[in-house]
Amino acid sequence: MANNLDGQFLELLHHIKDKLVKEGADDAVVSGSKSSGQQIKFVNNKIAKTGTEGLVNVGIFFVKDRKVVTTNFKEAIDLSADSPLDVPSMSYLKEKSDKLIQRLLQFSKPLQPKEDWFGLAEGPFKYREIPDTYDSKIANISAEQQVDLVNKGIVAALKEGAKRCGGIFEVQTGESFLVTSRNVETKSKGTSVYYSIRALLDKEASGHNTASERMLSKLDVEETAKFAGQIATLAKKPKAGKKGAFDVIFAPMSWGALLDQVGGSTSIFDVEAGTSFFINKLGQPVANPLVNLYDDATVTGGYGSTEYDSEGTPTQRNVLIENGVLKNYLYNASTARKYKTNTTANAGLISPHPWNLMLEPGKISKDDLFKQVQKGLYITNIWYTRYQNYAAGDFSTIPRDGIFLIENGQIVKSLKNIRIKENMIHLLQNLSGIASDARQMTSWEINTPVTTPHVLVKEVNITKPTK
Amino acid sequence: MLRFIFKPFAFVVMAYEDLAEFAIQHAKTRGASYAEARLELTDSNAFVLKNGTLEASGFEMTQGLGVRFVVNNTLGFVSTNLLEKEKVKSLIEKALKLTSSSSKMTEGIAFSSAAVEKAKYEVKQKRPVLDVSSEEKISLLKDIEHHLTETKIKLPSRYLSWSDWITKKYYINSEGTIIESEIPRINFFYLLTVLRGKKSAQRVWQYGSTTGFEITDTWKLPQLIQSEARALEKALREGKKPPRGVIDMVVGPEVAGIIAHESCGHPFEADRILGREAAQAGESYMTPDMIGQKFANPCVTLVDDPTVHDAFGFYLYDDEGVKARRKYLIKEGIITELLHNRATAKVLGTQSNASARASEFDKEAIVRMSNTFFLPGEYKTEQELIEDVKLGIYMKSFMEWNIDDRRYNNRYVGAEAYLIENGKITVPVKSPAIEISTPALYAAIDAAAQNLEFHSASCGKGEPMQGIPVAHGGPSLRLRGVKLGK
Repeated sequence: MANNLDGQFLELLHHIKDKLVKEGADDAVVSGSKSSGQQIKFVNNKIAKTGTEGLVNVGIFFVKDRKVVTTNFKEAIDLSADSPLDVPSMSYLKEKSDKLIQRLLQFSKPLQPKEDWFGLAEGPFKYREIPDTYDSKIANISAEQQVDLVNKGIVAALKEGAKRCGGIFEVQTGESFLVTSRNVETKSKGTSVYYSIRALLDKEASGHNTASERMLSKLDVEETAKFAGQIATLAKKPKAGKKGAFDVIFAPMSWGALLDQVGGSTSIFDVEAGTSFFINKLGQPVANPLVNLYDDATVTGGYGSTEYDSEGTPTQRNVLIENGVLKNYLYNASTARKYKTNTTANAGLISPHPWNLMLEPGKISKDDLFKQVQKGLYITNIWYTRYQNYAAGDFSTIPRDGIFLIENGQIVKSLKNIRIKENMIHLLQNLSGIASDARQMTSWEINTPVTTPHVLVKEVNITKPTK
Repeated sequence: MLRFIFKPFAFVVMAYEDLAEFAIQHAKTRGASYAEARLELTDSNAFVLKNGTLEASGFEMTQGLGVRFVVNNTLGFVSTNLLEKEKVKSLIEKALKLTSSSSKMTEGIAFSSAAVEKAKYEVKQKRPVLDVSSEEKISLLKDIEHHLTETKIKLPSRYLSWSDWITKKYYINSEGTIIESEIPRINFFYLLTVLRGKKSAQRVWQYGSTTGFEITDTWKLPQLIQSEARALEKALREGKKPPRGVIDMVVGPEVAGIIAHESCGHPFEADRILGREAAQAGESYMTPDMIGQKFANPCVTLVDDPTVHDAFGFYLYDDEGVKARRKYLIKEGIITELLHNRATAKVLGTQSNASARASEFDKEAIVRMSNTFFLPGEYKTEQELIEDVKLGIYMKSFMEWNIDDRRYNNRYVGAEAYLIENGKITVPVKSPAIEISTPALYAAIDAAAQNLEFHSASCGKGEPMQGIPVAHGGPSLRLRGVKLGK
């Protein structure tokens, strides 16, 4: 039955693509997705809300005479129903899509050409299946199981001394389909589970941790919650922090949020738009030689792993920073042709973007990393990163949750009310230690999945309110 | 958290009123003590001009249904764009299972009472934004681009983005409320990089309104953005370091607005105060028992008002069907009111003040700001505020900013700023930074002018993230005895 449904979805996508080609498209991409998900939001150790969704979408990317148009077809297409469509339904959908195509052609007419459009990736392609990206245990998770996992996490955090917990437990199942005018036809399915828990001792003492996985068996709710609870307890009675240059150990959650910024800055779109701090830096040292950063959409169980990008190019592992040197920007086929290089399979048809950012782990333990700090700070989470100048990399960001003073490798005091006022390149160049405890994360502040261990950065500029 | 709308996104429909009614009735039949349905249709357009090239253009029509219900004192939410009875029914069944299973751990949701409302409203547009041709919208972007390039200033990147949309909503609940609305919105976003030698400066801002295309006559974007580019270049060329020590400041309406939004609007959201955003946008320095306490000098009155016509956060009924009104968060320096939806109002023993908003059909309505601003003060003009400053900074606009998740530790760094010497603006100043606690910030405000302005943004909250149109603003404010940060 599922194959029949998939076939119908593909039939519709092909119908749209063929029509667009007939109307003179230089390039056309038609993508479809069906997704369903559930979410539990918990607050103060209780469940505050449940969420259940079912969505379907058809996206169209159309280029004619180098005029680029995007649109979505979010009509009531019941293609995720349990029974296949009847013939009249398919006729109806084709009729609706034909009307949309007419509107699209009208919309396209007065536009001006994008002179630097150089075409889609040429298929057909062969794809390699990525293991551990679909889990029937997530697709079929029961209501009781979800509630039980939420409860287990709360109990684990409270056991560490936390008084109240808030967070999210969310499961998603999705299928996607892609056809292009350049001989691409492919489909994939995937699952994900996201868990976020913030444990609080009181209003000023808290710890936060998240887990983002594709397979249920990889999710350890209790361990994730335990860390949040431990940080909350350690953060008890914080004192106002001091300004100055401090050696800082960043936890995966805080460093991951900064690496998310680094990854975004490697997109050629951001380079052109002025929102990258890597403009004119290709081939130059931008980080300490210890830093090896990759974007790898092919990694087993990767939260952002995908067999193909938005134009159907098979994904690959891309080196972004090697031994501290910026090696690559991220491209789709068109931008790669513009700069006379190869696509990195990071389409985004308009804006290339990373899939899974991975900082190569070091060889020392987290404890040994702490031992390298005579006097410094441990920052477990950050938020609200904003730039004075993206191109220069000048920004500030605010630590939240546990912030600690480290003396002689030991946490000795809980701190509050400080800010990091820094430059991204300076921060990367001052990185001086990488632990081995890499962890995959997304969070409220980490949009692209990042896998990173704890790291040590020397002489980070810390500020505090003047009054 | 305030975000800029960088990349255009889009929107959503109705003509499915019977489906909304069906969803409510089905939830009720299956034991829900309360149910509501929100149908949305959004029709949108977007254009991006990057470095003079039309990078992408697009349009969308999105439609969907959000259903919220209470079963066993537990809140459930269902969303879908599969607008077909059997599909909606099966999703509600799935949601009921999860919600019923969750009830053994429920916080025990309850709503404050609310009047039954029946209303229909729409924003009248002189030049309906969907009727204005793509040519005219692109031509506006091209005109801005032309005004920038004719300055001969080195501007290596120029990112200009236009989006417009109309959202039609149909809201009903099991208490009998029915609200229909139609609101247009326009959003213009830009990012400029100015280069002089090896030094650069950037400016990001956006303009938004709930009007037709006629607003562009008022905005005069080409001239406005050209003058900003010139000011940035002048600051790079002539800008001095800001003074050290304790000084006075005058901040323009744009900076007043961000202060209002970040350090008063957000911390006054009752859901944050009650811990419902703890794992997302955070909590608050506020506690309910602070109502009635002195917060600022008597010259400070700060409101959140969804009923301001044209402002980006405009609405007349919220997404729980409650009639909107002006809310005085701070009145003459005294804390007077929090932002509530029906659930937070019930917990704190009051009534909802219509602050429940959802960004799209597939998001639950949570406590949000609308148009948050300082009311004008006694000084007629900004100039009068400046005249009374011996040594200080005039911060017209800002770039970098942030605040901690309890809304206590503020930072606002000037984009266009000048030195004030003996009551007069003299030379540009580079990146002066206010880094100050919220109590100290409000204690420093000693006067407000009457030049009220509204600015626009997308405010982020919730999980999944909901970016929602808001306005923030005020007149120019004077701050006494501030020590700048670095």
